[in-house]
Amino acid sequence: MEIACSASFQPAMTTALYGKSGVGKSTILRMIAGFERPDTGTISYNGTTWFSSEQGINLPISERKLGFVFQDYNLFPTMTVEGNLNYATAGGVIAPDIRQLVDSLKLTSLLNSYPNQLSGGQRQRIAIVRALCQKPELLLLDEPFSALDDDAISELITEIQFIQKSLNMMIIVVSHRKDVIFEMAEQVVHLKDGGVVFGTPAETLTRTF
Amino acid sequence: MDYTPFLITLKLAFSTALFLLIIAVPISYFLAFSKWKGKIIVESLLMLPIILPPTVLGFYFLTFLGPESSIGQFFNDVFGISFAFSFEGILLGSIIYCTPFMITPITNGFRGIPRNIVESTYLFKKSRLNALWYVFLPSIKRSIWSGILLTFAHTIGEFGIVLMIGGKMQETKVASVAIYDEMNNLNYNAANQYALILLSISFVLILLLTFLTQKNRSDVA
Repeated sequence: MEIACSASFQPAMTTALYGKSGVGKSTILRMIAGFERPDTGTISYNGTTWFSSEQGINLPISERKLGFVFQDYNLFPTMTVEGNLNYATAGGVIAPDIRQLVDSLKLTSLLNSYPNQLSGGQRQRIAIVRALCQKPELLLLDEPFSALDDDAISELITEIQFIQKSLNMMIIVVSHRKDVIFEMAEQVVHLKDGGVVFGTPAETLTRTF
Repeated sequence: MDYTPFLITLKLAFSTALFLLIIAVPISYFLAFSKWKGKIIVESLLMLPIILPPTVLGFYFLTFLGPESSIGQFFNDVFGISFAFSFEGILLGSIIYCTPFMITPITNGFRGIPRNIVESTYLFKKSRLNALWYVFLPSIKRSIWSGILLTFAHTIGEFGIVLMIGGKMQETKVASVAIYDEMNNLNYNAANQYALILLSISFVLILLLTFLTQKNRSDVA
């Protein structure tokens, strides 16, 4: 698959990567994270080059100060929720601010549960909290809603918006759902076969749902 | 009845499973996660004992490690170990012969870990060893147990390679060789007793393995 793309993302905003299935949205997100390696080009964040084919730079994933939430299979199945959060934290113990976030998202009662005991929505919420344990500056969400029902999606969007506002965080979310993008994104990068369109959801997407 | 053959059989099975487990984990990790294109050759070599007749393996074992070989003589001179007609010899032969039975389930276990789980470990500044110990190995516990049981069961039933390398010495006569020996001496009662005990042990192992496999299938569903 060939993708040619040039985009810049605004800080302290939620940007959606939108496009039809197979256009390369998740691939671009994975390249930003470092899971996939572009053939050519540059990826930089806040003045730091993460990847440059010309300069031979490819910063390790763990050095990129980002959190990543996958579509599914985020949490380590053999660890409790607390175990997952401890593992993701540099010191091995949940930081006070993360514990406070767990409390405010009403997830405290789930700390001793295993992932297979949680609903899909609960797993995704914990996955987002776990992604924040590393104190990332950028949060990448790859189709985090695709396995959820509408109620769980609304709840999750509210919590992501709460996190984004309170931490002033840059979020890039991949979604194929226009309703989700209209609800949560301030900016859209719309990938089309012919190129890339930037703008607000209203500017770039036709509201047909 | 002399129970020594069963003690030697169990000692051989435990030792083979233990040594193979230690060396199989890093090898299986490499086979599962390495992007090196040449690993297909390594994997094929490791799987060879599955299809190779035990007598072929035994023959080459004695050719390269026997008392007439330079390697065999080195080990005898330096460490006082002889690989022919000794427990060390049948243990090494058993380890080589059972390699596929430990490596295959563990490699498949590693390969079965969802990609997202593996990639998640890259996000948290943990070493590969840390991820292996805290995330991957706990995720493939059943595959590891399958490997241990398969190796154990396969070692219990070994005959050709053990007979070729170990003969019928006091310290190398396993239960399967004892049955053969009693048959040759027309002691059918003794052969029957050995066979019944071996059959019972084998059945229990298969029962455990089947239980493990069924539990694994239902957990995946």
